[in-house]
Amino acid sequence: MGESPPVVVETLGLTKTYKGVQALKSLDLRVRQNSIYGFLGPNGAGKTTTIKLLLGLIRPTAGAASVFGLDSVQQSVDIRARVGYLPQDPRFYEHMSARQTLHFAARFFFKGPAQAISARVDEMLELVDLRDKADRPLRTFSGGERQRLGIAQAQVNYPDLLILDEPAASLDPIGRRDVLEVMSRLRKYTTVFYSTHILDDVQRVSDTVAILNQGALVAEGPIEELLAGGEGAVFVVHLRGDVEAARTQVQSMPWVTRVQTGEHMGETTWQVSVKDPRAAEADLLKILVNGPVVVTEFRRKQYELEDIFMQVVEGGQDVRQ
Amino acid sequence: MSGNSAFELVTERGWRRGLGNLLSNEFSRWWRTNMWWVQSLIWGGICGFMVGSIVVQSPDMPLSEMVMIYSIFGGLFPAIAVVILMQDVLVGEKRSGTAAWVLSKPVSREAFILSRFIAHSLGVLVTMVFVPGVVAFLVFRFAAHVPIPPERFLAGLGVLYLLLLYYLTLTLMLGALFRSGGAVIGLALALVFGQQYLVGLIPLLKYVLPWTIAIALPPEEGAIVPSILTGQPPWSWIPLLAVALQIPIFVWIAIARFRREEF
Repeated sequence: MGESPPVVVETLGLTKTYKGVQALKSLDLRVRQNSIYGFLGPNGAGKTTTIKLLLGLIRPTAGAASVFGLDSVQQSVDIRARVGYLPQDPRFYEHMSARQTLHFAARFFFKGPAQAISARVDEMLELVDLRDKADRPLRTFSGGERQRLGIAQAQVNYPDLLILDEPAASLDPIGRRDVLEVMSRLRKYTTVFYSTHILDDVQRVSDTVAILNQGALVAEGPIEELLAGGEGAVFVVHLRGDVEAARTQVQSMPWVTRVQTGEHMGETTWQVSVKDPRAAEADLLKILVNGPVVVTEFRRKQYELEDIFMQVVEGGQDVRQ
Repeated sequence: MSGNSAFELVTERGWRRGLGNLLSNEFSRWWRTNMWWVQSLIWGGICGFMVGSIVVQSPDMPLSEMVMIYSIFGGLFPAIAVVILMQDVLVGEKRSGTAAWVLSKPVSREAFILSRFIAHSLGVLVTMVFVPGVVAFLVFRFAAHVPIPPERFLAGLGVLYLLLLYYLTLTLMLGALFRSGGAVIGLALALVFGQQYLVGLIPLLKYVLPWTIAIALPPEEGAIVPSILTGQPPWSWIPLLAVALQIPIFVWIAIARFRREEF
């Protein structure tokens, strides 16, 4: 196995309390370089609070956060010099045009040369398809256009870490697709940490996911592991015949934790939960086909992110990997 | 990322980080819009009109009374304008979310406050002090034939500027302390108008508050600016020292509060 990529973002017991209400409860996160880290949670879960803590826009009540190994309170300016940030509801100076806004944003990072800055601004305008509106004042921009400008200004400095707070919110399906494409493309150069409530997007582009609920981290891990199920694995079996005898045999296996039974179109369906998926893959089907039943379907259950999300958010389960 | 190798990176550190860019942006609000000439026209027009009308209507008015009227129109009314102008500078940005956006860039909070202070101080100096001052000087010299020496007039303008800086920094500080525009403008205007009553209640306050810089209290004592313009010794230099001392204190409080602000 190769070495794990370095950690870009790390939080330890990060806590934020507003007027006695805990918005974030002892959050421990590790985001590795060049990952696309999806940060999920219902409204008010603490996603934006976490992002603002990482950027030093607010201070933690307890715990600590570091980005590139720099402390988010003491060295926040140095952190922001390497970060691109899209706020949840991007607000810019209304009297400026998109081009002026991008120039203004770029000048926080680059002194010159002016030609290179202008070229970068043009490139960003092209990327978000705002070239034809580049010189219009922002007060005439729609929500979607502002969002696209927000994405452009977040990338103008070639950030080592891109933090996007609900990047696809207020975008139409094509805009959403474009944002996801940009994020996928950027993975080669940068780390993307983004919050969203659009589960489909997360499943499409993220490699690591964290789910936050009521200020607490309730699930975290590589997306494949989360989708494979939090507690080992589940195998789905459709069968006919003497199912009770087969069930007794299966349940006696040391790697089986539970067998849930149901009926479907005259067939019995099982959901066999196992703690050792490799043993189950090797032996479960063998046991069944050698027994008094006919197996008509056998597969490992694949979860949708929505299943996991609903489990942990509504069921209060903790499925951290 | 390697893409930024074609650029010359910003190297400023500490409180200066982002100051240049912020200043350039704030200056452009004054000097690349119609703000500078509108303000210049308003204050130049008011001073020119007021001093000119006195010259025309009351040519025999003593110089001390003429400069007293100029002092009120050049000091008190622009002070109110400064409060109105500045009340939204921080509160507006905090409310609209632009402050949070700017501060998500590599910018120090000191630079954010200082850029507003420096840019508006310069704007006020040119449009509310220098331009109307030049207009008033020309009217005094060529219409009223009152030869106020230029250096004395400049000293008077300097004191008027100090007065406006006091209200500018006071409003900036209130903007850092409060999130409501009403609180900022209410408190600042309450001080502009209420200090004469405060001084009446606690006479020692006339050494600390700026009221007597432009307006005489009581009238027989004479205000500081008219005294300077007429070559008389002012009733006391202490208010000028007190005001000059309070200006950096107000800026310091604004910065200290803004450093702790959460966005």
